[in-house]
Amino acid sequence: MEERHQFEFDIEEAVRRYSDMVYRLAVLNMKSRFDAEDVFQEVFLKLFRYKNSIQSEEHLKAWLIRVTINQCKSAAASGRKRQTVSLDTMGDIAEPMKEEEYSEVYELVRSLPLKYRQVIHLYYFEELSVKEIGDILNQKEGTVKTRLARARKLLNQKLEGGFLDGEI
Amino acid sequence: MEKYRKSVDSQHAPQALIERTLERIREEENLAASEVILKEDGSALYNNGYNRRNLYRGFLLGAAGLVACLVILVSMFVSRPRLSYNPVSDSMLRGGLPEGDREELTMEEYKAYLGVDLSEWLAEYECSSSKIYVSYEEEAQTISPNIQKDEGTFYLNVDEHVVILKLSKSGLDLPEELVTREASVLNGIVVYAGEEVESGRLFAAYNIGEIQYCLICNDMSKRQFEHLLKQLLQEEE
Repeated sequence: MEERHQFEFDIEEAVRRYSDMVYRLAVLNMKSRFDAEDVFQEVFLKLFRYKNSIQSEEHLKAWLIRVTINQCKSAAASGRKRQTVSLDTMGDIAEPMKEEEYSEVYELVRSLPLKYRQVIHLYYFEELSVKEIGDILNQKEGTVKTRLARARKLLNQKLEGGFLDGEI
Repeated sequence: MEKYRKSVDSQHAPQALIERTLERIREEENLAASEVILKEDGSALYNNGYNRRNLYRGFLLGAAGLVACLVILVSMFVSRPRLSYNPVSDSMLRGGLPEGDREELTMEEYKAYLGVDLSEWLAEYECSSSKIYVSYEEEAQTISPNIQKDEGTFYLNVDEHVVILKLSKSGLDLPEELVTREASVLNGIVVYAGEEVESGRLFAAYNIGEIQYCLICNDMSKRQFEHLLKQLLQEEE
């Protein structure tokens, strides 16, 4: 049997290092803070259960992003009914925004369809390449580029001054 | 872009959430460790020599039983028919969906489209994630019957191996070398097995009813792979 390279890492350290990344993705994808927190816990529990499948630091980050997005989809599809706290109350989730335009931009991105929200966040905030996003989301690079272009167009239409000019 | 970054930068995972998560991980770790001890001798505490002697006897008996089971299992595997693996050069199954936007389906929508309930075996094989994509006929506004192509990809965890199971009603984009050469038969089902020589990746493609399946694994031995495949085929009967 082929020997598989195993990347050793400390789970607790990985949780602390990637907590913000996973949390931000969960908040972006879910409707309520409680659901986002549930997703957060499930993602890191899965990391603990399947840590032997992680092959490198780069793989760990990509794995966490992929599992977070898939966990959000599962959570949304399960149709759990619970008391929700609206994410419009930004103070429950993040430090208070200092300038109104920050909140407006974020809310506009959150108002996009999920497939556009994800690529915008991964490209502009996580600074992943189109290829990396394609690999994580199992999409072709052309599809990622198309979705980024459409997302920018939608945001530009809503924002004065535009979100971002230029092509990828 | 800077405004978006600053908005997101100000979001942090609550410390209480991090601590709760770590606590759950530690609980699971402790539970896994304690279950092993409980199975060995049936008691939870090891405070004195009497319990330790029982534990030692329990280990010996357990080890003897394990060896016997292994001998039986090996003989079972040796006597069963093996698959014929066709060498495959294409390293990945390429998605068969046309270029352009793919749409995702939820599990419920996909089950309804396929007419097959996947939930039991997905739970049994610890499906950690799934991706279900479809493409529609042009200008289609609803799902079925306007789905042109579909592809479901499920990531299973089987004995700490990551196994991919792809399925499709419209047909998977399989490597030509896999499906044009020698076929095997397992549990009465025709299986096209392949091996990518460089990586050792194993493939097994088969049809059940209207649905085409392809099982893929990077790091299993052929015996482990075939054992899993037989289990899957038995459940489909």
